[in-house]
Amino acid sequence: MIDDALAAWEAAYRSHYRVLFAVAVQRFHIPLADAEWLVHDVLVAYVQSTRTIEDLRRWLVGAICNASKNYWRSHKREESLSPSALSIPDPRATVDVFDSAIAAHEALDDIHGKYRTAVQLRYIEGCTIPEIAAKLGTTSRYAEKLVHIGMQRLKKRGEK
Amino acid sequence: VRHHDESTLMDYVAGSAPAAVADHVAKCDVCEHNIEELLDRLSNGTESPPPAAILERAQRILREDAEATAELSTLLRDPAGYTGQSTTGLLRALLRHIETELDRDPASALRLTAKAETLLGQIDAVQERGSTASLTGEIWKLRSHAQRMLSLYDRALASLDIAETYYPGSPVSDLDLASVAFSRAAIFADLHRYADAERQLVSAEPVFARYGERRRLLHVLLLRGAIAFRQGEMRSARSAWEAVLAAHGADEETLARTRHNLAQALMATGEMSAAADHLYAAARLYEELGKPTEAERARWVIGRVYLQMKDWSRALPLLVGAHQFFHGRDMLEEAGLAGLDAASAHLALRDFPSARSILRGVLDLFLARKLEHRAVEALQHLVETIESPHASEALQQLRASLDPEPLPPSPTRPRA
Repeated sequence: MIDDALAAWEAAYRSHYRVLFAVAVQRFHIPLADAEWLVHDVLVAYVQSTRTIEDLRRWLVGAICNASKNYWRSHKREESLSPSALSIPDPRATVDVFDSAIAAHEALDDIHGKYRTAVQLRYIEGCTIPEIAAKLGTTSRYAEKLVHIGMQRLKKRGEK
Repeated sequence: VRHHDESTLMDYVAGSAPAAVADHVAKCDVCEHNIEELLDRLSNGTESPPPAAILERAQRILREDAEATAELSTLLRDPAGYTGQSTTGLLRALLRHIETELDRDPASALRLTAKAETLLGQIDAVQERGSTASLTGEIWKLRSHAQRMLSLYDRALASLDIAETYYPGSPVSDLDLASVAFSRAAIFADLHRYADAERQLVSAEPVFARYGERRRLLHVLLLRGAIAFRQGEMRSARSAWEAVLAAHGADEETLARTRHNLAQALMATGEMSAAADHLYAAARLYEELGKPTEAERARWVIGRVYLQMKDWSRALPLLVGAHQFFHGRDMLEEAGLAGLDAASAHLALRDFPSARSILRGVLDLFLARKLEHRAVEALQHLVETIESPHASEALQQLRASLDPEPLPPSPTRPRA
């Protein structure tokens, strides 16, 4: 039974991923890696839905449009990143920025949910990048990016 | 008719088109077809396989759902004493169960929402990311439905206010919020706050249309009909309900409910034969859906149609049948009222012993329900004077004072 359900979900993924990705990138100008994250969120929300969905494609497209709008709403509150944000920060150097674990926790409150979770898993819980990817249900490449950006934001906050 | 170009259609899909465009597209088959073509082109005819991490996540969710079926039975045997491990799968299964329990026993559904909250507190929010917030919203929404069914309207509205705060992180937050708006509209309709109800429906309708939620759109129409009926606008009520019947995509329960409602509008305008036809069809649908209580309720109203038509011999078996059915299920209020209707038919046929026998049974029910003293006294007097020339009129007055012609039921919630 699980196999049938999984096969049905996989078929839905295969046939809808591209259109959802295209809507997020072309209509809403979501950066590519974030668009991938949003599409995965939508497809996971579909498998978790407790309701019967009447028109799957319209439901998924409606969901990706809404998720994209939510994305920009939450990003408006955040500062844009400089290109140097993609360099890999040394966690030990960042730890030095804070006086204590309490300060680190307070700093974590200032960053966006998914970046916060990624940093918390990496530097407080000690997870590896593949472990973070598994926990967040995403790819290692994207998990790594989340950790990098999250650490950059922490560093900026610590310098203030 | 001017149809919209691709850019406007994409705005509609994205939820940023003006209201006039949304209104047109929701009703236009050509634009709907063009949207489908546009999406086909965007998909570029290619398929993408899911990455292993996402596939594993979906597999875990589905496994939890499968395991939850057996675990839910254990939980329901003793919800308070359940100490098993909580998963989002078990929580989803419990929420689905609460949804069905609402129709059967809203008080029990309300108690189960507290258990759902306990289970939610045991789930690792980091691992489940946004889904716990949505599930919290769902719990509060179901709690509101149960409270509404128990006529706890203020609490039902407050629960919806709380539900609303949990949805913003969900990928389908707009659909969730539209569903809350619909639930609010149903409560406002019960409270006779019709303008407030309409405002909520206006906000929910375009979102349901964008997500292709045809059944929910029909529920909007069904509720609009109920609001018109309650305001005495029979023509508008009929037109809304006839539109539901004519629409594609209505599920059988919606059709049954709509026919039941339409019959009551037809009864109000004196079109008894058409009303009976709709009620027979509704009863058949309810039977097919495995809802014998609703089917019996429809047959009871058919009996009342025949009473109004003075067709006593056709009314009698339906009304006696309803009285016995409800009595057998301890639905004392319905059993009492159907008993009074059956006694009316006996009286019209001058079968005084049968009328007296049923009224005595109803009297016992009224005493058991501790009904208003004056109604009990009036019924006692009727039993004693059943053969007097004024008995029939007195019985009708008593019946009308206890339950004027019931209002059509409005949909509780946009059903899945």
